[in-house]
Amino acid sequence: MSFTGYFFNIDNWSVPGFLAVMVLFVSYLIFFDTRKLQKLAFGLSLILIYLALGSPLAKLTSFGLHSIVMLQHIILLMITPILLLKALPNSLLQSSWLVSVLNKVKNTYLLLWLLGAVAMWGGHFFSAALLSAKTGTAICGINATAGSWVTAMPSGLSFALLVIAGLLFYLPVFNPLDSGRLAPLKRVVYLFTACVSCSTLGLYVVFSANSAAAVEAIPIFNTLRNPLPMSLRNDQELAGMLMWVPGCILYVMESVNILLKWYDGETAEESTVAAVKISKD
Amino acid sequence: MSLFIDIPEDDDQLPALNTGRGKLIWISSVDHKQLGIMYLWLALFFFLIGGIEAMIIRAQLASADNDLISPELYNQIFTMHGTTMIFLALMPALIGLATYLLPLMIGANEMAFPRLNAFSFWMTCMGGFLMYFSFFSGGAPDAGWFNYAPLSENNYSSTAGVDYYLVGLILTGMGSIGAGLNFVTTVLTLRSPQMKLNMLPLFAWMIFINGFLLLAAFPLLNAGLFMMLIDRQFDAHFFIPSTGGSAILWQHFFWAFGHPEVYILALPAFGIISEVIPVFSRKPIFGYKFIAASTVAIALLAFGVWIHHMFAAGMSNTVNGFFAASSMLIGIPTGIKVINWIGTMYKGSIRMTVSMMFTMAFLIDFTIGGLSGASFAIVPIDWQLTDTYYVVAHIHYVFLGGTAFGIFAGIFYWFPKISGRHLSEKLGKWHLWLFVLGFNMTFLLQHVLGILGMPRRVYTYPVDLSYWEVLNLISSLGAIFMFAGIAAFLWNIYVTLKKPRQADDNPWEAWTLEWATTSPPQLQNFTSLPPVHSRRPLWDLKHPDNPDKKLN
Repeated sequence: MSFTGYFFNIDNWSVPGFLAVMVLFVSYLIFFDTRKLQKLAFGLSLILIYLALGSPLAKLTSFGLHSIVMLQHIILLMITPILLLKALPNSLLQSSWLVSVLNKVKNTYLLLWLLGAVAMWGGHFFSAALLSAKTGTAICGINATAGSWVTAMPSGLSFALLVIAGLLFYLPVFNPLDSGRLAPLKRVVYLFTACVSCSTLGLYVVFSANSAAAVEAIPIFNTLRNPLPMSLRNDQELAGMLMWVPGCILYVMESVNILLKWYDGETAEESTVAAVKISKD
Repeated sequence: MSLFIDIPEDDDQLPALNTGRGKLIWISSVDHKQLGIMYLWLALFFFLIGGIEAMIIRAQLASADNDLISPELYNQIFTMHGTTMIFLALMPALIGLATYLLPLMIGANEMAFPRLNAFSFWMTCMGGFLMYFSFFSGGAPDAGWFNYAPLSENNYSSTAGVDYYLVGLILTGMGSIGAGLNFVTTVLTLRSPQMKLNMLPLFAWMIFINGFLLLAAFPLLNAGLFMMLIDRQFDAHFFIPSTGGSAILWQHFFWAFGHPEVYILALPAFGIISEVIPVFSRKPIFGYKFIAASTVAIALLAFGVWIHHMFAAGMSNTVNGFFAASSMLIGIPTGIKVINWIGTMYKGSIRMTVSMMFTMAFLIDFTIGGLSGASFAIVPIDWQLTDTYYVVAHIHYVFLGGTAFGIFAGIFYWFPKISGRHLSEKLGKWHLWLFVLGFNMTFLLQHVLGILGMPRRVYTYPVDLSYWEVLNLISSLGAIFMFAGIAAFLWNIYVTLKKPRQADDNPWEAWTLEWATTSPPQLQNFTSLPPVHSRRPLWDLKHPDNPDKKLN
């Protein structure tokens, strides 16, 4: 099967998934009064989720491609949650219960950071085990059989957990309520340490790819990887590099964005003026 | 009500060689200004030693089939030249300037850990002299400044030179880690109560970020150095492939340190440039927040690009491809800085002091170095040019055309503050033109030599290779110009220090806090501080009707 043939085959695009995305987006537009950027953020998040779970890209996982699984994780854990938080409608923030929870979130930032890291690493090892069970080859040193318990876990649940973990992880940084966010420099440190975590995971996956080298001698494992004909080793290196370099750059860009706002540092006088203005309005 | 904040501290006279209680007062000093000055003298001393080594290298390469020195000595000389210039000249010079200026710039009277400060200096000093002691104990290290395994292992380097390199760099590394810890803690705990972190002068901000880089990068180097020392002294085999070790692992350790080290040497120079340009352009810095934020981006990305130093080591195309991309990306924040510096000069009322002229030389030559660096991010070009004189040219454009020019700019700028005397502008211009001309003569042509295929570290070359001899000869002549430039610099320092102290507190009409105290400062830097409400407190003080944006 050729690469283009695979991608233009309608069977590889999930129609129910597409409809679900459309329904969600239209509902969002109808039921919530949001700003243009929020609409854009929500739309983008849905597109990304569809790409990760309903497009031909997602179906490539059935060929046992580790790199595609890593891409799914990056999208669901590291990118989509930011967009969803940005898209959160203001009307939902009227609930005093939610406001109270969102305000308290920053007090548990260590726990939430840990949750994010566990989701990143645990999600990876879980997927590696799942792939191993599917292909019969060791992935990242993990060797699972077809009857392993990991195969019993619904894949939708694991993806949903990733998104939820991502939402919780990003709350101290992108909390819709300003008062619920960490101080700017703390946010930078929060993201930087997460960057170290994702770089370490990427580094581990890349450099453990050597263990996959021996398997390359067996042609069937290469043919399994059509329509993206990559060796097991290249696939694993690509998986690690995706997490290492773009993953890290994502956190760096977020950090720089926070810093750029922080340098402008509103003065006490200006914030008082702003507060007065708001109260008059 | 006074505009100034009182800073309570004793105000003993700053001890000096001729006025203090004996000469040992310097050795036992924990004062940040004295330690800063000692760092600078140490850097100058080793800069001269490294410069003499460079002259020997250029003399050896000036003509084909030359045998001025033996190949064995040549290996030792180029190894010590690189090691000296990076670890014993540029690092101490930058740490020295930071040690002297950081407390002054943030309105503090001392560093957070004065004894650690002294410890850092003496470790650096001891490490340097220990490395040079190797010349008297069987031969200096000869495996290149990055000391690749397995060449540096016992099988191939059986003299004690490499051991001196390892122990010497471990000591200087410990000193650098101490300095990094001191910089970070000083900024966080001792800055003026009114000075928020987003109000730091850019030099102080760069040193603050550099502190984190030092803390993160040098332990990697020291870990590798210790492992190799264990290999050599206790017959372990971390880096010996024949017994199960990995030579590539050394490269990972070295370059995981080595690439951040490039920024450890560049960021303080960026900080100097960011102070000098606004003052001599009579304009506030253009895009403070972009310069400051791009510094953080550089620091974060610096740890994710080291593999571009190893493109020729046999990594896969997948790995090489990603690191090529990230290596190109790291050029963006640096480019942003250059644009901001030019933007600051644009429509400014530029005063062409020697400091400013060195800054302009920096902008041109560092940009060339940056562009040749970006060319190495393209993997096929890297494969073609790796280990050639193109690399030598690139590294010198970054470290000499970049860092060293920045240091010279800083020395001319802050000399009145440090010594109470102005360096001669006339001699300074001789220094500048001889050095900059010589520098470009020497290293611009080395790009061509590299493209022609001349390997770095080669002892000599045959006469019948087209253009090699003439290009090498011009390159060596350029080195003589540079040597003459440094002679002018030394003479300038000598005659200036003979003069009485007559510099004003703020001779350049600058705006940061170090200019609010006497030149040179007393032992107690400040008895009181002007109010700090913006990034240019002295501007606000002088222009109360037109102050900068208030930030606190």
